[in-house]
Formats: sequence, C-alpha cells, structure tokens
Amino acid sequence: MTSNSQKQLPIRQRLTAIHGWSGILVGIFLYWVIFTGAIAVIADDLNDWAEPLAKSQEIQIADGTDSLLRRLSQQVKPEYIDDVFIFATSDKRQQVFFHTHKELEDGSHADIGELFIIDPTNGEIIEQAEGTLAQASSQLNTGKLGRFIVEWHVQLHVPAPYGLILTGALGLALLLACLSGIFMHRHLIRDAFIRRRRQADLLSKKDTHTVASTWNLPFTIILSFTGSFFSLAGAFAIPVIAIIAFGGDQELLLETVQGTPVVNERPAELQNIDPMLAKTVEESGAAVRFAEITHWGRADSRVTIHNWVEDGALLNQQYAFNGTTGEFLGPQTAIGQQPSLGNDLIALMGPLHFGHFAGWASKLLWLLMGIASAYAAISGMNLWTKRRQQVPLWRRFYRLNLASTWGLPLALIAVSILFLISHSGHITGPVEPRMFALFGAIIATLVVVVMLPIRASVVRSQLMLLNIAGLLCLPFLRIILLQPSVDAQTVSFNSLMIDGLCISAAIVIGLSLFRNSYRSGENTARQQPQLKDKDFKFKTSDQQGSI
Amino acid sequence: MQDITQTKASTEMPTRRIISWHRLWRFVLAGPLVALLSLIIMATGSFWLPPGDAQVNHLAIPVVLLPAIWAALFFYCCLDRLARASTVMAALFVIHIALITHHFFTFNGV
Repeated sequence: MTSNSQKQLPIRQRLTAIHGWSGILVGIFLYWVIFTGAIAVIADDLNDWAEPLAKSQEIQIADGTDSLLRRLSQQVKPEYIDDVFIFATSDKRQQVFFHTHKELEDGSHADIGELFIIDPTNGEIIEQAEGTLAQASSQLNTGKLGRFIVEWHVQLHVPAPYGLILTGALGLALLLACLSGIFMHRHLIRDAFIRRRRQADLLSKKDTHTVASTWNLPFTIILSFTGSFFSLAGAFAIPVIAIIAFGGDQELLLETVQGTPVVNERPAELQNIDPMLAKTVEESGAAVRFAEITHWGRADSRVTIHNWVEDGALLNQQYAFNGTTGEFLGPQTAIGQQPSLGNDLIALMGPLHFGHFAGWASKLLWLLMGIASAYAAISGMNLWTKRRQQVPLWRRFYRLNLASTWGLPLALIAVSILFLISHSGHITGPVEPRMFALFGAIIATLVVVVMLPIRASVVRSQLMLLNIAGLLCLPFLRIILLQPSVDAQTVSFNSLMIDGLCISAAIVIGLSLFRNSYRSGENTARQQPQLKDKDFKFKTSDQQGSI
Repeated sequence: MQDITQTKASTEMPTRRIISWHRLWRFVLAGPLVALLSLIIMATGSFWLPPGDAQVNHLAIPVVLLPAIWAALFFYCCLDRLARASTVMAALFVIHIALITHHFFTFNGV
C-alpha cells in the first residue's frame, strides 16, 4: 500500500497549488476590491473634482464653526442635541450630524439624528436628512461618487457585517497568494528581473506577472494584512474577544479600552469651540479633520478633535477638551488612557492602508501600487485560464475575467459621467439608485457580450477603446458642465490632478493597445508554432511547478 | 483482459477513496477549523499577553496579529503531514479551550 507521504505532492507544488487556487477562486472579486481600493485612495479628491464649490475653500473646519453649530441646534429636534459629529465632504463642504444614542426595535443600538450639508462659503444648508448616519447619508447626493467607490472596496456593497467578512476573506486570500508566491519561487530576486520577449506569448505573460508581483510584493502584503485587519476586527475580532474574555459584555470591553466615563447630567453651557479648534491646529501643525462633541449642554460634555497628519509625520493626532470649562485635556490615544504598543500598532494600520500620510506623493504611490496589484491579480487569472483553454469552463472564465478587467473601470467611468450630469442639474432626484442601475447594466451587458462567439482580442480592444474614450471625456465634460459655475481662479489642485490622472490613464491604455496590436501582427507574421505543455513550466526558477 | 481490468479497478478504488478523504479532511482542517482556531487563539491571547501600563496591549496586539495567526496555521495545515497537522491542531484547540474554561470560571467567580 502506498504510504501517506508518497501520495502527497512535494511542498513546492503544494505552494503552487495554494497560490493558484487562492487567486482563482476569488480572483474576480479580489480584482474588484483591489482596483476600487486603488481608486478609493483618491476618493476625497474625486469628490472635490466632481462637486466643486463656486469658490474653493482652503480650510475644511474653520473659524465660525461654533456659531454654525448653535444656529443649526435651533433647527433640530431637542432629543438630537446630545452628540455632534463635524466633518468635511466634497470641496470642504461641512457635514454636521446632530444625534443621540437610541435602542432600536430589534434590541440593537444606533446613533439617530439629523445630518446637514453646509456650504462653507455662506453657511447655507445645501441638503439635510434624518435617520442613522448611514440612512441619512443615503438620502443625500453630496459625496456620492467617492462613497460609491469606497463602498465597493470596503464591503462590495453587501450589508454589514457580511460585506466586511467577505472583504476580510478576500484580504486573507491575497495574503496567501503573496506568501505562497514568495516561497514557491526558488530565485525570487532573479525572477524579478527576467522578462523574456518575443517567445511564446504565455511565457512572456508569466514573466510579466512574476515581475509585477515581485516588485509589488511588500506593498501587497501590507495592504492585504491591514485590509483584512480592518474588515475582520470589527466583524469578528472585537465581538469574539468580548465573548471570550469579558463574558459577552461589550460595554465592559469598551470601558477597559476607553476608561470609565464620568457621568454628570447637570445642565451646563457648552464653551465656544472655535478656540479649541485653533488650539489643536497650533499643537499639531495640521488642519482639523474631524470633531466630535459628546453630551452637548451637560456638565460632562467633552470635545474631541482629530487633526490631519503633520508634514513629515506618519500618525495623526487627536486632542480632547472639557466642553463645559474649555480646559485642554491634551493629546489622546486611540485606545487606552496612555501611549502603548497596542495603540501604536492599531494607529499604524490606517496610514499603511490608506496612504494619505504624505499628501499627493503617498496617495499617488498607493494608487499606482494598487493598480499594479490589480494587474497581478488579472494576469494571474489569465495565466491560469489560458493554461487550461481546452476545458470549456476555464474558457468561459477567461472571457468573464476579460469582462471584469475592462468592464469595472468602464462602469466606474460611466457612473462618474452620470454623477457629473446629475450634479450639474441636468438630472434631478436621488443619484445613487441611478448609479447602481447604470453600473449593473454595463456589467451585465459586458458579461453577455463576452460570451458571444467573438474573438476575445477584438472584445478586449473595443473595451480598451471605450475606456480611453471615457477617460478623455471626463475632464472635458467636467469643464463643460461644472466650470461655468466655478470661479476659475479657485479651481482646486485636486481637480487638476484628477484631470491629469484621467488623461494619463487614457494614454497608458492607448499605448498598451498599440503594443498589443503590434505584437499581434508580429506573431501572425512569424506564424507562431503551437505551444507545448513544457513551455509553461517554470523554466528559470522552478522546474517542478507549472502555471 | 477482463480480469486485468477488474484487478486494476479493485486496486485503484480504495486508493482514490483514501486520497479523497485525505483531501476532504485537509480542506476542513485548513478551512473552517483553522479559521475557528485563529479566533480562539486571538481571544485567548488576552489571557497571557502582558497588558502594559495602558492595560490595552493584551487586547490590541492579538487583534492586529489575527491575519498572521490565520496565515501561519493555514500554511502549516496545508504543508505538513496530515496526521501531524491534525494532532498539533487538536492539541492547540484543547489547550486554548482549557484556558477559556479556566478563565470563564475565574471571571464568573465560580
């Protein structure tokens, strides 16, 4: 009888199998999460670009916030004047959410209140809605373009916690693909420089996949690790720790982490928060990003202010004030009552994942690396399916991957065009349902089209051309639709960068299309011989595994 | 000819069944069981890790390391011999369940 050890595949082949299957089983969703994540790095800038104010603002939460809050507090239901969030959205518009903590009918707890979108140039209310923050946000049109892309990345628009669990699992699959990719190559460094050209088409593609993945490896490991942390911490980790270590008492866990709050319900006037905002800017050297007031009008009120990252720093700062006396309580940690290793590790997750610690420099790097990761996912799936072209299932999967690869950016471009038209006032009413309908229609159409008996290369070329046309159309459409209402002197740098990125992306896709056409003609002229199975072996570094 | 075919079939069938059972068990071990054990190891980390001055290290560090714990267990279950991997996983499971049981009785003052 054959022994167990003899039946098992060698370790390197098992790693190759893990690498392939971890990518192929979730590859398409993984590509969607990575690609939308790369775009989500510039989601705030996309919102600035799509919804410019007549006069662009430099500061997002500025002086005059206190009077604005007191004016708004006259308009909301008294029960909502408890906690307040103040944060910025498209082109420094201010979002103010007056809310209170309530128990819902199903026994769960939620923050319910009224959300306002304020024009910072004149303090007028642009939009307002009532409900939980998610419900109120969904009723408004402001910031929807960035939100649409971010939600694809965070939870694939699947309701929480299932969407978070799904993206957490995708992050772990990406981590597996990265780690198995490292160990399955005997000569990782050498493979990072090998790119054989003008040989068998697939061999060249394999080299491109290896080169892109290898150079991008540290970044992809960081992204998959931090991404799965963000998805799984909220969905699984904190509830599990609460159940096992705190007997299911999540409030006890929060008290351990954040400290026991002092309760004093005696009515007391809230101090002017403008000097508090100015104090944090002076302390941190960076603008205010987000502010929170708890227990407005009570003696135990507290103001917490989060600032952006100071130049040259990696982590952002947050400060607290006594709301009744205005006393400065100093810098605060994200968790715990004093600095700690655990707090630093958790605080590091954000900058490493979002890449917003060094302005446009880090954002561009994160965007490009994200797109390189997305390319590695696509090229990996293409290699797997091309290798198995004799199986009808994998032939269909190859075409499905084609629809996904070029269909996702095309659908996002179409959604952006729809948003621009809607924001310019040519379409009225809620924009989000229309964005979903258009996005779904494009993807569904492409899935049908790629299954038709048309050559895959022809479909790819057409989809690339459509993407180029859409990308070139975006800056011009924005100028035609929105620019007349915007002061030309105050066009924001962010908008110009987005315009530049659209045109650059169109040029890159155009060059790729030209290169594909050139190579296709060259291969036809040479009458490329039939590829044999041995051509797909890891000739350079790994003699055992196949693609 | 017929005899030879029958002989081949009779020798191959049990081997295939063994392989498929091995594969199924490895799938279960590396899939749901590793996911469950990772969560348990993460949660029990709060029992033995030092809390630090801020009293949060024992809670925060295991949560941050959850993806690494999962990846390490997954690769181990995929790459080691099935019998040994199963034994190690069972041992880890028993140790951590014992820790949780001990903590549960201590926490509830039993």
